[in-house]
Amino acid sequence: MTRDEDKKVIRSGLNESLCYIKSVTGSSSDVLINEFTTAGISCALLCCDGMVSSQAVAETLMPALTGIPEVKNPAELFRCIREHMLLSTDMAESDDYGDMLRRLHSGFAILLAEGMAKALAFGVQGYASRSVQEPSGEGNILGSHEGFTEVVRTNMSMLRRRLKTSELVMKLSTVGSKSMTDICLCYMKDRVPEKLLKRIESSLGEINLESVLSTGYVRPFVERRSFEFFSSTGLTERPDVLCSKLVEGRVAILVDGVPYGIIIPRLFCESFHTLDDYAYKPYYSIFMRWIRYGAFIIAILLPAVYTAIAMYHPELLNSTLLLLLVQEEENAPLSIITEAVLVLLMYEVIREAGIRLPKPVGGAVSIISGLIIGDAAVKSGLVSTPLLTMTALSALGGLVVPDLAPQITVLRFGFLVAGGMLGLFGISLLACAVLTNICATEDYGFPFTAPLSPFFREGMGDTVFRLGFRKMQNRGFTVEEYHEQNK
Amino acid sequence: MNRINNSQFIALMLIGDVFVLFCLSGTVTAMTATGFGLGSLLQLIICLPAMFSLKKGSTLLESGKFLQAAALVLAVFRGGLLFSLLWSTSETVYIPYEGSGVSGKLLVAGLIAAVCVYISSSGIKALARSALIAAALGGLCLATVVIFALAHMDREALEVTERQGIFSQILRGFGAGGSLSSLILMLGCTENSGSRRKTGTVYFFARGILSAAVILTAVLICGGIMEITEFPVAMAAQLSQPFPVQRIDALFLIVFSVFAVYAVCVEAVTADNLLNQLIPKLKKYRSTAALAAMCGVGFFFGKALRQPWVAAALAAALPVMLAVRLIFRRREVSSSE
Amino acid sequence: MKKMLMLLLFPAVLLTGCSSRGNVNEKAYLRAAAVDGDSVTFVFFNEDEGTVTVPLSDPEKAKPAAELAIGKEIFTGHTEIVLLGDCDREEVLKHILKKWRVSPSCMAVESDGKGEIILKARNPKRLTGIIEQAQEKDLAPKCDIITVLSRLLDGEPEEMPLLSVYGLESEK
Repeated sequence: MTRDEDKKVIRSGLNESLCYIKSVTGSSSDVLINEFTTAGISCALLCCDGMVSSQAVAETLMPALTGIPEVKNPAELFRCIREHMLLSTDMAESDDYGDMLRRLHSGFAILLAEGMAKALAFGVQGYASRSVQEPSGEGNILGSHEGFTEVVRTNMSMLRRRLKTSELVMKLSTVGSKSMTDICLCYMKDRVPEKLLKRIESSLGEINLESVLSTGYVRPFVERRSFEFFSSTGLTERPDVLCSKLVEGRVAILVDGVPYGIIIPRLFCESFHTLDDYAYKPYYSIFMRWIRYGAFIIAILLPAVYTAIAMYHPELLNSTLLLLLVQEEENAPLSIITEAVLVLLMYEVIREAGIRLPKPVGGAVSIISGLIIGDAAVKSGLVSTPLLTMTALSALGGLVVPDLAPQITVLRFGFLVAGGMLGLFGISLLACAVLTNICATEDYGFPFTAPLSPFFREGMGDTVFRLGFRKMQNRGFTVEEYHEQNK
Repeated sequence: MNRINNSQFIALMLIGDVFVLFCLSGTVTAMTATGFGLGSLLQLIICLPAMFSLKKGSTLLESGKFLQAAALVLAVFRGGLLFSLLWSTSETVYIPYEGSGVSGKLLVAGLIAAVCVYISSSGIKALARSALIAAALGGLCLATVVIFALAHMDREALEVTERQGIFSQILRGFGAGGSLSSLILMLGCTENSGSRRKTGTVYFFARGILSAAVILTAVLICGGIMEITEFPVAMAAQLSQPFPVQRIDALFLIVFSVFAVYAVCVEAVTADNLLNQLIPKLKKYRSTAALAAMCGVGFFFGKALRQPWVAAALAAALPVMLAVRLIFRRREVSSSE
Repeated sequence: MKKMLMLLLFPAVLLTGCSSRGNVNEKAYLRAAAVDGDSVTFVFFNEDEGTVTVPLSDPEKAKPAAELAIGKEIFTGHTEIVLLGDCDREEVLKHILKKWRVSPSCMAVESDGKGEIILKARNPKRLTGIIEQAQEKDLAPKCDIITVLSRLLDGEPEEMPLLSVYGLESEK
């Protein structure tokens, strides 16, 4: 449908209207048209097969619509239905075909009447969807085990259930000229900075795509254009995490069809926070948080540092370790850096295979990767044990911070090449560049590296440490404290 | 120009100063530490007129073309000095390829310059934020190295056995410390214009104390072998050994490399901003041109720049020019009244 | 511009021959050395590399000659003990510290007779163990290279443990 056709006013002639709808929808088999007469007026009930709840239509709509007493004219019919009958909680009137068809394809049942240049839409959605399940990532022990689903309205209800305040505002809109995907902008109106909200709304208005099928389509529009290694927007599969961010004055975007919410803005240190941190006692939470920081560093740097030391700075290893290394590398046909690159590539292939393969084949991958590649490669001398150990530790470290998995993967290779070429000097240079890129990441005036740099002492309470709730309760923190323009 | 906060400014400046300390060559004693402390104080005094004009809202970017050109030249010379120091010290700190002659030097300089081009293109805010983090981490690493190195310290080395002229040490400290073009430019970018004088003063005191502390540590650790030590601070870091079978001079190499990058970056950003004022049409390649000029200056004039009196003259030039300008302006104002 | 820079730099760095940098197993790691008046002896961690004696008095020239003899680059950063015989000890230790970049805990001891004979007769690991034990029991002075060199530079009397084929000797 073109934009002009989108705005075409609904024709008052029923047959004409139905012909038009059939031509626009290409007589699609899932568009069901039921013509009937009620209150002396010819009407038609349209719905998309599989999108509406057959039970609601059959038990609520149809008996009610067919039982209306005779009225004078179609306008009277519509008035009667609107004002005297509560047929669904979501009832709307459409003036143009664009809006009507969008509602039809969203699972509304549409009522057209002869002589009426409007349509009534009844929200009786009943499409098949996944039930609320445990999130696939972001696992935790003591918190909720509910995750978002693909249906945006279900996700909205999950947020509402957790924030029973009228300050929580959820605004629905559509993006994608073909997909007409529902997106929901969520914020707390008493917490969110006005400028942030306006800029996000304006950024969403710039989306001119035909289809929006995942959060990846939306995120580039709400982030800055320049190359940033780390995203200044976050993703979460957990409604409780999203609610905690909303309370801090952030904005969230839910996209229909995707069980993730986008959080704006996000800070670098938040990639290392989990909800379990707030469930355990502070001393344990602090310990685990530092484990995650350490795991991140290990994930990125361990293969690179190992390669650099082995190739350029062997004096940094103690003699026992060095001799072990020499012994292991004696029979290796490849240089350490080549070995390291190959092992890391192998790991990435196995990891990708593990995600993409069908479940029945999963066992075979474990056997191939574990026994054949891991065991046989080492025994044959193709790969040395210390290197394999370093790679395994690095891979494990990366799994501790799944939020940053793409960045860890690429940076790991980058640092490895830098370390292999120039030793610790190369690693230091690349680290400077990466650190600067992280510090340059700033969207909507919120520095990505806050509260570390620029330094905010109060922010350290939930970054370096995890203060108890008794100390945090009066702080009333909102993310606006980190906004650069306010300083 | 973007705003940076006071702690970011101090971190930016101190990184460059600490890097110069890493590259300090020749014998150092407790007198040298005193000289460096007093050298910082002297720099504070000659920078006061510049800080007064900043207080009145007159930044370097708003001053006349002559001053901006002078500041640019001084920044380029300062960058050249940093490159020269880097080349002379890098073999001692085990930077690979440094021993490969001219090509090795150029490779090292080229890589640092490439990283500096990227960092300066990210803007002063990114530079300042990353410098704060780098300074904090670097400080931690250095503290670790120093703590383990102090196990080998020799307290007797603090005694000044020879009469060393305090004035020569003050000159040495004055010349080694501080890139005053960058200082004046960056101080003009700090957020709160009312506290710039205080921030500058805090910086100079911090520098004086830090320089004295680093040099005294080097004296304590290298004391016995000072006369054969070419780079006492670097050697002191290399003598750090927590266990007999484990060395940690890698930490020093990492800190050295990172501080080298940021020290050069500060000059590159200064030169970039000044070039922007002087030649607005030169939109691209400003940082690259400045860094290339710094490499050239370091290569051809490095030895001369490392002479204490030359370094001191270059350090003093801009504040003196600013002081003279301030005096002339005041005379003009009083004569017009 | 940045992309051009990266495209130029990357091959330039590769062309510097970094890919031909020695693997960790392509070096010989020096464990102990003995500098006598007329020869320098090198003992390595890897027993297969054996002991190499070069008939040159200057360690600076002896190291390349030894590398030629064993066919590998010698890495000296892990040297544990240096035996000093009839040589200019101050100069030798200065060279070892600056050029060989040994660990600060590398021991410098005096050899009773030719150091070459001592190293061929005794395992260097045992020799270092003997000296460490003696130091712990205050039977030998501190003899790390930094301490010994400091004493030599200060003009203080040489205080180094004396090693012979039979082990640690009492002071002469």
